[in-house]
Amino acid sequence: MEQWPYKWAEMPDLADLSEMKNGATDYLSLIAPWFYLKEELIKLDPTLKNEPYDLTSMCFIVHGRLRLGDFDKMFFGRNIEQILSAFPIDCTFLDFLKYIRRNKLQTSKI
Amino acid sequence: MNYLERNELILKEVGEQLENGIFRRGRVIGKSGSSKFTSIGTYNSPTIGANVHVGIKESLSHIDLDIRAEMEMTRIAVISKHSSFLTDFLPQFHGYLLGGNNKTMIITEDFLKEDVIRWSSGHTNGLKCPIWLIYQK
Repeated sequence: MEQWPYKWAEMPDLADLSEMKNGATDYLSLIAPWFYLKEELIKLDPTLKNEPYDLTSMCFIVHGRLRLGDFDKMFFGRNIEQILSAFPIDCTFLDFLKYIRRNKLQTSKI
Repeated sequence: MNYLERNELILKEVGEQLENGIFRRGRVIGKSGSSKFTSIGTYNSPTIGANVHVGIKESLSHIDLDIRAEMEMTRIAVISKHSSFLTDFLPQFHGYLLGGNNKTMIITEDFLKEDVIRWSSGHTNGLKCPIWLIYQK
């Protein structure tokens, strides 16, 4: 499990990243998905650009999947309505709540 | 079909499998300080035409997972919409499961299975994200 050692506001330039190695750690590979997500987030919300958020505890991809827990940090603790307001998806906030309710499974067999 | 639409179809299938009693608690895949993840089984999904491996995440503390489940569904929805090149790295499905005693669990892909297939957004083969191609090496 590799972790990104830099804070959001200290993120090195892309050119530096491509050269940067620390032992076996290829930081460019490590940060690639987050780097692009960050760029996308800043396009949508420019105020995030200078957010000095600490990314150093993030673990990125484990077993081929993004660690969703780390997205708490990426979305800066926003609630559902705030997230969907900043980053609109294909449905409204109320429609999304209906989607969640519609997809709540129930069982007594597990 | 976007991620949310596909997710809804898979969850409907998973719900049917739950009703049919196909799933059973299996191996505990992992534990963190506050939750554990348990494999519950595999079924063949008509929606994606392949096996789907299913697991449940449960709280190990008095804090229920209801808010966490909803927040994770929200984050997944946003990522799938705004960073579609990352959808290969999202779970095949992700939902909310109310178990006995109204205990909330998160039901999602057991992605530690070896024959996991990837949800393909169609974007990862493009040139929209050259670093991503480097990452794929």
